Amino acid sequence: MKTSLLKLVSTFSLVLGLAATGCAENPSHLDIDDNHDKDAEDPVGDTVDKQGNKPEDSVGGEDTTFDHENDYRDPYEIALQQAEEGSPEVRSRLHSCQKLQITALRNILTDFGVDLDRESDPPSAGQLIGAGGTALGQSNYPARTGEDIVWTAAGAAKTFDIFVQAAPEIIAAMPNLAQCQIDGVGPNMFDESDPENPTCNDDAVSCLIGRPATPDHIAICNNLLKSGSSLEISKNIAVGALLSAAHSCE
Amino acid sequence: MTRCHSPAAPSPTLPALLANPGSNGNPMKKNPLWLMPLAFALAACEAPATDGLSDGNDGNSDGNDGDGDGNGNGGSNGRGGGDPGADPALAARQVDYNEALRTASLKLLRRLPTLQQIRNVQNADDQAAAYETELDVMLADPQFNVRMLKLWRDIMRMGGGDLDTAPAFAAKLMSEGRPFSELFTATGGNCPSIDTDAGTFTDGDCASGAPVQAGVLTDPAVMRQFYGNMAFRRVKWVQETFYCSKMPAEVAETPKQVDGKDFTSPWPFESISNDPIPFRDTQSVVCANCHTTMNHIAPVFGNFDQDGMYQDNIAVMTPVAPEPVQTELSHWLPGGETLSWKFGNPITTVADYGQLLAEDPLVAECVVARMWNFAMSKEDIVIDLATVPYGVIEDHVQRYDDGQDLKQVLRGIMLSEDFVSF
Repeated sequence: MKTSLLKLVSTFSLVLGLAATGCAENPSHLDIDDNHDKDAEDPVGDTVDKQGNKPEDSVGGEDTTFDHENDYRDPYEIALQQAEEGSPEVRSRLHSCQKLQITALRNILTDFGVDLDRESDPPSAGQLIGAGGTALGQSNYPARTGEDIVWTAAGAAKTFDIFVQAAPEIIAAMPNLAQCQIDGVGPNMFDESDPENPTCNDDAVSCLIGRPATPDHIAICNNLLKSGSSLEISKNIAVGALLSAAHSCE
Repeated sequence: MTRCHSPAAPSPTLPALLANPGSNGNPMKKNPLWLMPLAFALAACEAPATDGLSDGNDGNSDGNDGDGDGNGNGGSNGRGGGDPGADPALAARQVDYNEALRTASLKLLRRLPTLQQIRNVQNADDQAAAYETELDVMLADPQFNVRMLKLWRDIMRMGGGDLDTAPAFAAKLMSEGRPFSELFTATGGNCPSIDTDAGTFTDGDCASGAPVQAGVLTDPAVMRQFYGNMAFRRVKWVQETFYCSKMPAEVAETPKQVDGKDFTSPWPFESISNDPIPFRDTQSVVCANCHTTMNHIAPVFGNFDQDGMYQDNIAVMTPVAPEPVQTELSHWLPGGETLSWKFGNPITTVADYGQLLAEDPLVAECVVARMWNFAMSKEDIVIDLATVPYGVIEDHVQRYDDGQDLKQVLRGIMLSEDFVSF
């Protein structure tokens, strides 16, 4: 549990650290990497450009001609983690928390009406995805590495940045989203019939989080609407927070 | 390669760390990150802290108090013993078909379920049936094929551009419900392509020039991606991808002593060459523990060059100083030794190798375990040792044995009690 705690505290701390740049004008932490954009070579848009094989990749040095790949994790680290998680039978039968795949993140945002091609300053959600492939755990097939399965601190922070940047578009598009309509009618994200006490719409929250909203979800969302310095900022925080939390297995 | 990893289940200590209105004691329902965005938002964008954040800081002082809870039970119960169903972490789970719908949708289509789908399951008199209906819709969606392409890209560690044929072939076999063992035996149509927008496949034959075809084992993209000294990287790829374990692949019941060290392979120690590469070296490790297996397989891949094309002669290199030289059969094996997949299973061609893979129950167990890990969001079965006890997947392996329809296996997993319990 201590390791788990440390990891999550680290995640939390990193998010706090990156928070300062999350709303800043100049996101200096961004990775400049456009290689995983969708193109003819990579229609899915989640891998870096292919590199050619080079003989020297597989030939050792003068003193060690017998290179062996060592792309495994430290078995002691694994044993420590697994000891925390329980017996193999139990561990295998419990769901773990999978990182949102990059394509899933793209699809979710697109289904919520976000234009991933839009450019802005500070960077739009689409730009953050485009530049954040490394943090988001993109595959690197030339290095024979698949996309990350689990969350990293950097990936969680980046994902939250993305959701926050996407929030205004999602709020605006919500009533017209096929994703969120019942019998052709979509909800507003918020009920502002009482301007002094706006609330979150159950259908909209359910649609955002992909499962029926509980009273707790609604209560948290409503509380967030009172947390910002202005209602507009609070709305964005609420949507970004709901999306980020819901899609990091919470 | 360095990776950061999350634990399989969120720590039960974290609800104490953060305000957690939704906690119900279920390890998968903990909310450690719920307030992360709140903290972010308030720290980054707002000057004054508000009620939500101050609540969230309350529990920091007792962040370690959950060590004995949840996951610790497995350890105290012992490994492999007793009834895992009695484990409190498992017993605490609750069937939640809406959560299963969301999880399945993200996995199979990489999209969230629509609000209509959510309500369909939520308001159904028979939620299990409603979930099953939605699951079948997802499995029939052409985008499922694209998702399987990505899954096999990640499993095979190759893809994009002209490196997609092997993942596409695996996805196609799943999509069409064909015996998955064709992955190792197909003599044609083993290099299809896929339209990732439409989710449709186009047939294609592998044009490696190999005299016999054997599914992905003669795919030039595979041969190119895993080109390396003496074709060992290709052998390692097969072992890790389809046997779900690292070398050594063979272990004798009783190790022999060689130079005072354990030689664990069932092969004779002298069954591999020692020149120009000292495969019988024992100075640091006993190389032969792995290489007795690898050296008897690698020659079947030796004629594929670094572009993955089959040549009439051996087309891989032996890493000797000062310059690598073209590998000869004697570099792998001494005279008189024949190729073999494991001790006592002689092979002549890559097609023989593929046939043995197709018939090997360990390969069946491996691919089913990979489907299980995919469904349950587990880490890599080799790199991260996210192994699955046979007892957990036994029913699904039996389903696989009945026609080797891996898509139906995945469906069965996603209908299982474990998958729908959170």
